[in-house]
Amino acid sequence: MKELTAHTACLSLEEIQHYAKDRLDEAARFRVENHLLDCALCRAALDSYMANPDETLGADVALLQQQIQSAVRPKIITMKRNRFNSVAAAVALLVLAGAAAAYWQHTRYDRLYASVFSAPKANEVIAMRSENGVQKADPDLQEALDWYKAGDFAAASQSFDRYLQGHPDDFQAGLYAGIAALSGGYPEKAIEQLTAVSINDPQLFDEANWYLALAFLKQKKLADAKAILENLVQQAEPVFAGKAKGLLERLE
Amino acid sequence: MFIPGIRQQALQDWSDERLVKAFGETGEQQYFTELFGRYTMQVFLICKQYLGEREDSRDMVMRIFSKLLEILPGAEIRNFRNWLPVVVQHECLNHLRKQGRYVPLMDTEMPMLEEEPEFYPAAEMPIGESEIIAALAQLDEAQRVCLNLFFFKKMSYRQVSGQTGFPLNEVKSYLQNGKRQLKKQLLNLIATK
Repeated sequence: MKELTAHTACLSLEEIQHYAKDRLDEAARFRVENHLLDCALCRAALDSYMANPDETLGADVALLQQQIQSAVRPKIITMKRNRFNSVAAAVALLVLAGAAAAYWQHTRYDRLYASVFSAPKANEVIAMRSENGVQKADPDLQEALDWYKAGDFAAASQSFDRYLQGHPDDFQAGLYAGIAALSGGYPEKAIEQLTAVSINDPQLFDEANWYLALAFLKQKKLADAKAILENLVQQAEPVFAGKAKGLLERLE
Repeated sequence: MFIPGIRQQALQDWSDERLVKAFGETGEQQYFTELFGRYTMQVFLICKQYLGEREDSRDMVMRIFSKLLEILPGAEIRNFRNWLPVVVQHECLNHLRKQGRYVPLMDTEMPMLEEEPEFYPAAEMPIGESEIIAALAQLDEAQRVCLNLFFFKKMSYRQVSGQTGFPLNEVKSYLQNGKRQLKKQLLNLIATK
């Protein structure tokens, strides 16, 4: 009867999604329902999800997590909000300028993305994994790297996903999973994976944020892309700070 | 330079109450960031229910974050995660009203919840199973039946509803109120021991 008195942790988004779709086994379902008895916050969150189920909310939550982490530095919050306001104003002007100008802008960012994005070459990725021989032996990871080497990024992304399910703390693999997802045409998934790397692995902060900015650019979420690039200009090592500055200038 | 990963490792084991207290005493944002970060997903989902659009909802989450940064140090909060949804709802409704959007009055106001009694780790709880069963016997019949089926038979809400004939919403209500009452009785027992 310890379930009657023990404190229970709040639900994850995954638990909410699986519970809503009745995909949990008995033990997991009991944990969820027992927790819901005590937690008004999770009850309200579940009600919201049930009213409008959406499998793609993870990217929003990941982005918010990153914004909240960054908010420890008040300067960045101010900067982001100012940036947001100026972008909002710019968007309003664009609407007034008419459909032709909007179309021109639309294709402009596609071209801009294509001109700056390049996935690390396969031999760099393989060399990176070779430094860590134990993980290289994992069949899913090996398969992901093989697909990556072959240039099939969509397949690589799926193999990385399988590998990361069992190795969620391998942020180096998470970085390349994010890049593969972006290259394979899944920018939303890339945002989720790269944000997790950015938050959790300081060593990969610069590289993860660079590709994160590109993922937002790919989705034409310019305010988010610019906020991350501004952050990189201020904090990243010279190579990424320079790349970020160059892209920011072209975005302006 | 601030490194998020290191901060998370240091604070992730702290209770909500400890983080609230540390933030109130020191004003250091890292405590509040850890606290709010735990519930970002839930806050976002609640905002989305009221506002609909994802970008609006994300913006509202950050607005609530900024607001709580200001008001939390002076607030008396005993249970952060029960206090938070009321604040979130209030902010969303205010936002909608300021925009002149229609907000029906019925079923919108979330009542401030009764404070939960403090929990006791099961291993340290000086109460036996027979005392729990005795405390169960003092509950209303509907609450007792539902709690028995849920905790002893491990039935789901739906199964309890099917077994008892109570509508699903009533089952949830009996279980929530019954569990709360039971914990209160157990705490009284501990206090008198």
